[in-house]
Amino acid sequence: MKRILILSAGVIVLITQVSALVSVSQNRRDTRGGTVELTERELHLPRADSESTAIFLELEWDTITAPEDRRRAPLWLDAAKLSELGFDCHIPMTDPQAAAYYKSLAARPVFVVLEYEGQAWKNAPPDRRQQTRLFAIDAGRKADKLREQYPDMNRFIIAQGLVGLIYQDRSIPDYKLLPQPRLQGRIDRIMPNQIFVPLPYSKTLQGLRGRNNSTQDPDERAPRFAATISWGRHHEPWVTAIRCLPGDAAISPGP
Amino acid sequence: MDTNAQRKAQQRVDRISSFRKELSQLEREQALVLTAEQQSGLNAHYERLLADLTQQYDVDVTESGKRVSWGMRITALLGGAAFCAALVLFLHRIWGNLPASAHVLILSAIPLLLLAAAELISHFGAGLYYTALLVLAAVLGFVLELNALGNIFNVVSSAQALLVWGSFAVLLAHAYGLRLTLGAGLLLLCSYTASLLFSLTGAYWEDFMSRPESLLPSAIIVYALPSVAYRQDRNDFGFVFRFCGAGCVFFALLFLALDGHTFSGRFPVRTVETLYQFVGLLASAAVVLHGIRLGRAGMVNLGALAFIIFLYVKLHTWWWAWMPKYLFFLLIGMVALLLLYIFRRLHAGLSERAHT
Repeated sequence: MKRILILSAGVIVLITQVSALVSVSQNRRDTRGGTVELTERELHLPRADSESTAIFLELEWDTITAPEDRRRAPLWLDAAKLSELGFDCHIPMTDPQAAAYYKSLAARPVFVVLEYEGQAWKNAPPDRRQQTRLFAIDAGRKADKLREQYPDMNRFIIAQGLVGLIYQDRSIPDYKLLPQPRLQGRIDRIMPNQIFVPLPYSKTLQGLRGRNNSTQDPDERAPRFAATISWGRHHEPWVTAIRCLPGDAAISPGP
Repeated sequence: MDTNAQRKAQQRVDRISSFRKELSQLEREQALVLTAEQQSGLNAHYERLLADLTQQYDVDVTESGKRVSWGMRITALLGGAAFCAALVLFLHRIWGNLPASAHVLILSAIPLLLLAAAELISHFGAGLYYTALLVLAAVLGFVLELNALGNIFNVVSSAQALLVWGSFAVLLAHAYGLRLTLGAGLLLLCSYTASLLFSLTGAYWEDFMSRPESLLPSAIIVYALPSVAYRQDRNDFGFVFRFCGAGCVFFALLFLALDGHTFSGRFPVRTVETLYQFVGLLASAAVVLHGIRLGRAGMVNLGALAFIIFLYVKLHTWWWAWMPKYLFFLLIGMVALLLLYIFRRLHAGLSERAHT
């Protein structure tokens, strides 16, 4: 009996490992999530850690929000869109239980459309336009439907994300009581928000990690590298190419 | 080595030690005096038995031996933790210089090698404690392995991981008779079912603790399972099941009793909180009574602790806002006295059960 139990435990480990690798290989079989070359603006390279040689790039994205609203609450993510994403928004805002009810709703996993150097970026306020050119412009429950709507695979990324709901009874930034509360969605995160850089691509970035990219104004920093990232069948990303950018060539004028 | 037999052997040695101490006390008090022949016969029997048990199960026969064993165990725990930290930090150091195939190979090998080491140690009779340490390291290795694989392949986390970790831990706990590993496995499986129930509502599984009520069904099943299974419970696993089940139930009820917002939000918050405060009180009282019926002090203590916490929460919601603070704490003190009286009665009940 003991041997059977130990063997079963070993088999669980092996099956898990094999199914994880099969899932990864399935994801990378096609790039239906999109393939886009992003620069250091969109892929933040953390400073070198003396204890680790592993390199992860952090996805930097933004979205058009109300002025001064820093909650990543896009204007397009209103009550109607939230209902479309599966949030049960049937309780009227005048209902005494509305606040408790809407505050209790948990975040939902959805697919988020990220556009690179698109209209949303062009319309963004100048200070935010410099930070990243990747903007969340839409979300949906079905990735295929979103891809039909946004067919350009080299401009629109369809990634997994988490959307939450805000019961808003005060205006931003002055925090005055609104005549009637309203529902606003926010994008909690894009999943995964870090992308591992394997060999041989990591060699390109090793030298850059030690160097500080803060000689200029943060908003005017020139990206030092560009990485081509693909999002696969399961809308999980991986690095497919990395190249160094020449300093002056990387600075392109804004719109 | 059969870990259950080893545990039983150590219990026997402990009983012999206690019996010898009590016998010498009785002889000093002239309550029971053995003849020289009886004395030498008994001593010869025990010496033979202890030698056999020591040789077969590596048990500690003296108090000093026990203390040295504990010292060795603590040293082994600290040393093991240091070795694990060294390995993880070394892998971090070289991780970026290894190809993906090496990552997969190393990560896949870690839990399997630790499992093989646990089996070897157990087979060659190095002791239950060292086997338990290696099994726990294998479970942790499996958790780390899946996390690291997820990170290097940029995989979005899945609740299925909780299921495989929990199953792995429960299987190994049954193989080696390890209660701590079983407890860890049960908590992982309860978390898995809670996250599964929670994600059925369309929410993201990782946030399942924002709806603690999703823990309740699996926790109740875990608590009730020993009543239908574990008829021949050699490793006292029934207690672990009940302890983990009750712990999860109390944890979920306490969250709901403190913050009714976490419930579905369709009911008034105060009503939800009050309901769960009473449910918590009833559940903890039921666990105390069940513990007394089974004669398990651990369950009684857990139930009593939960009862006190739920009672305090209830009294706080009733009195804190309007009552002068000195009067509130005076009443809490009086309630504590009342509870002491009740626990004394329960203690007497447990002692009576132990005698019968």
